Amino acid sequence: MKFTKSVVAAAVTSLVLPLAACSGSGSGSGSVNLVFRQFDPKGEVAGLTTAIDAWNKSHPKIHVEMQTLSPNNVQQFAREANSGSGPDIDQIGYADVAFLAKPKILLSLDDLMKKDPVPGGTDNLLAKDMVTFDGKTWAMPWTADTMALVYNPKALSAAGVKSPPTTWEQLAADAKQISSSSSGKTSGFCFAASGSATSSQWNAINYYIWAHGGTLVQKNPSGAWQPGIAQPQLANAIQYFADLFSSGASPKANQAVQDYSDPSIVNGLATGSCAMSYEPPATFAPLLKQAKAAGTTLTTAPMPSGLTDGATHLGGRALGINRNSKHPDEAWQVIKYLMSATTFKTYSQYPASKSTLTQLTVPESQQGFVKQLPHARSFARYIGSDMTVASIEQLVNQRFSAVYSGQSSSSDAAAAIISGLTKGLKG
Amino acid sequence: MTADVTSKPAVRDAPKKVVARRDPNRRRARDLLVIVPTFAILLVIVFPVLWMVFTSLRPTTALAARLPWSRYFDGLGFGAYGRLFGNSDFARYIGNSLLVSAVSTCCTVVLASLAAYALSRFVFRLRRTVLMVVLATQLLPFVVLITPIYLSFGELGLLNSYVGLIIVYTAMTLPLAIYLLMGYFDTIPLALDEAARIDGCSNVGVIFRVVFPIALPGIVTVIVTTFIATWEEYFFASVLNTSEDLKTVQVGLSSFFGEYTSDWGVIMAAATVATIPTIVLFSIVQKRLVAGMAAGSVKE
Amino acid sequence: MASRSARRQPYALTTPALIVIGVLFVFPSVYNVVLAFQKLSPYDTPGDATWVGFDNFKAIFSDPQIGSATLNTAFWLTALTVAIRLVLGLGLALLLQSQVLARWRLRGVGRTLVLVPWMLPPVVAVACWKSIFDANTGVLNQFLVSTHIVSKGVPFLAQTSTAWWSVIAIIVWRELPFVVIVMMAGLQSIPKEQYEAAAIDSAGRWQSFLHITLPNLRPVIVVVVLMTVIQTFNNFVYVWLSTGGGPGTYTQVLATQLYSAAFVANDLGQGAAIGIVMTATMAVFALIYLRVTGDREGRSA
Repeated sequence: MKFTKSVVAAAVTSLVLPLAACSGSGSGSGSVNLVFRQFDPKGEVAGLTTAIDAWNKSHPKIHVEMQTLSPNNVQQFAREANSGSGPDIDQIGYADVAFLAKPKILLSLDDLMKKDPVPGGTDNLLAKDMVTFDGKTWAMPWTADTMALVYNPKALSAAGVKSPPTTWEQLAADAKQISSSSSGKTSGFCFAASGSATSSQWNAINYYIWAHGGTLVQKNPSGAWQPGIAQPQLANAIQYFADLFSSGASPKANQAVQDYSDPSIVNGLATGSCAMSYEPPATFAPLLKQAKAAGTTLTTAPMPSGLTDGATHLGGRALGINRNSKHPDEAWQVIKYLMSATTFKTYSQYPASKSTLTQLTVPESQQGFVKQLPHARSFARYIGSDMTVASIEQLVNQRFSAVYSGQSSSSDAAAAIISGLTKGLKG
Repeated sequence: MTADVTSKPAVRDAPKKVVARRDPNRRRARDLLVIVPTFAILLVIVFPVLWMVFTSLRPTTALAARLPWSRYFDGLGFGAYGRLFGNSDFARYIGNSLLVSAVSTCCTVVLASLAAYALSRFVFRLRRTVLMVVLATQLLPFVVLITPIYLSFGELGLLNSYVGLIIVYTAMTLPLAIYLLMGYFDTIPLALDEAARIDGCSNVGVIFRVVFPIALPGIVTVIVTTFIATWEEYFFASVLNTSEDLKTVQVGLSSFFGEYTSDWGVIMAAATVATIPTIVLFSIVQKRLVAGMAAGSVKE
Repeated sequence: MASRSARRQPYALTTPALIVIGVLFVFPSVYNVVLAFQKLSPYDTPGDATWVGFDNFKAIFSDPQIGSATLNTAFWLTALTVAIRLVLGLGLALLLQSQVLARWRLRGVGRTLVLVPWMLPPVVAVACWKSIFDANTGVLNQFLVSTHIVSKGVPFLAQTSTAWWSVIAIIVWRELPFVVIVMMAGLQSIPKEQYEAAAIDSAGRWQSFLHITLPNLRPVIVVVVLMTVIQTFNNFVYVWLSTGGGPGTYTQVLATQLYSAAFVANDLGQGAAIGIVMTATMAVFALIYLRVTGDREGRSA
């Protein structure tokens, strides 16, 4: 019994102590304190921290506190903002800006832009279509990325493939060649092919469809949404990906992989058991280090048809101001600083601004990204219907996966996708 | 089954049994027939955890690489642990989790004992209703309802505080604790509390002086289940407390999952570090569990 | 007088717990019902909702996947894993309680080891298993291939023949400790005299298991089954993280449908409606279950 009593006593004491310590944290004198929330793991943002420290040193009146809330949880920000709190500045994935713009959780930036323009203007910003809704600008495009082909030149040449493929058909043939000539030791093309809602086969599937002149959904001239691809074409696309597995070009193990950053793909590339895959720049940088440590050479090239306009996607992060922020003017100044070339000197991301992008020196191995970025186009083409992009993604991933695992034929899967889209788009 | 049989010969004569158990000569070779399979099963159970610890020690390039068996142990080191403590305030997260889990476990055990005693010992009109209400709470899909909970906690000023999380965890773990304790209390003969009541004990006195000690294995079980349930809780911890100072272990752990890359070495290191306090705690609680057995056997 | 205060006692004892539970549960459970008749995105405030009548419920039953998801939830996810956990959990608890382990002072070690899976957060547990299961580099496949049990790595989570069994392995592994520890505590509260008496009657080990151990464990087993069934039925983490409902929609369950509706399609009302159907299913189950497993009132009266 003594044990129980002492535990209760300890519990009560420990409950009261922090309460006393919590009360009354007065704010500093005269200076403005801004909270900037970002969602990348701390290990990836050392350069950003440096940039913010530099800002705080040169701007004693505007102190920026960087808050890391990882993984990305945009609904948490919405929750906080809807209850009247939340950080002043929020980092937002492009795909999420629309969700925050619609209920006006973000502050519209047009007045601030007029009062105090971004140096170099907004004309050279990429992905403006992802941050503009109802004629207003809700966030500033900050970083840009896309998926480039990551490949192992030695593995390609060992199989007699001289240069990285520039069409999807060539990619399938080359990958098959690599797999068979290495007798299974090296897989030609690795990609995350699971049927899960966020499986990154989504990127490859769209790239393939876009490269062949299709699109999953589109707005017709009357303004209604409808599927943008006919069933036979879609069935061909599904068959293409299913054939990658049956021909041995891609390992069956990939069918359980959900993400391009999964160790089985990243380490497969780094250790030489995968010859080709696709990755965004932020994943490629640490991957390159790993590959070096393992004695593997890796480099990038544009995706198949990657130099065709609109055949790849433009992703990235934007910066927005919470409508509850008491200091929008100061927050705007910080955003401008974060968008400037100064920040990108230490922060290893691609800026979402053509002019800032040209000021960067990019190593040879990353040329694939730089060459492809100007041709990439955002997922804004799928935004605006009653169906969220994530729902389209889930439907497509599930149906493709059902074909890989032999549960349905490619034409049945195509029909299921089309009917799912038709139903979803009508709301 | 084996348990019953092997204990049988000794049970017949209690004093002898005690002597016999301490006598190393009583360890027989055929004991291995029980020990070997038991530990074989335990090895299978523990293997994924060992794998986690092993992964945290391996160099990043070795994760998910197809290596020959002979090269599996190349380049082991503590690099991930360096990154773990270098990039986050993990020690603080552990402290927060210990505090929140310990306090809510205490609250749950005390409140659940009172309620379970009432439900086990009394026949009252709303008994069935109370039982169903308690059970119904287990059925709610919280993911959908987090927004109203967040809003009402905001109104109550319980966001970004230990207290808010402790209330949630106590409420969350009470139903299971009540049901479990009720099960254990049911196995305790009524005659015992009646005797105590004749001696002038109040209800609370009966619960904490008589029923509690006898049900100690059950109580310890509830402590363990409650503590673990609160220790591993991520959802409420991440939504209600966003301040860096109040992050719990699970929230700290999840912050190593990135959109672009996840440092699996660090995640495994963090998970390893996060399990150590619980393992230490349980090796201490183990002894209480044994002590509880002794208390239980004094029943006659 | 005495009887009146005695009548109040149970209420006085249960009230504190009910108040704490109420703080968290009352408002959301009422709101859940309201939400099921509304359309609301997770980005809006509850005030922005529009009323849609029974549309959300109609949508559930017109979903072509609802049948297979219900079957998956009831059979693969819940019934099978609970049954396996119960059998393995009881067996393991008996082994760990055995006098043999006590004699060799191995009981404490055994008890601690058996709890270990439970200490891993599900995210990490699933990640560990996924890396073990990987067809190319997973240690399980490497073992199977090098011992020639299979000729090529098996993508356990990606093919219909093995996907459910792999998910079940993960769930059973992670959730077994709970059953074991509860069973162990139950075994400990069985009076030793009963076994003594059985021994005098020279009953066999199977006999005493059947006539002493099981009946004494009954209240504990009843609670364990009820609680694990409910928790597993509502669980979405394991499926979501391990297979994401795949391959195709082969391992889709109701809880993942709920999550997809609420957070992939941004329709909280639809999610709440699925939640209500799930709650109702479990409530019916619980009522029938409690009736079948016997009226506890009779005993305590």
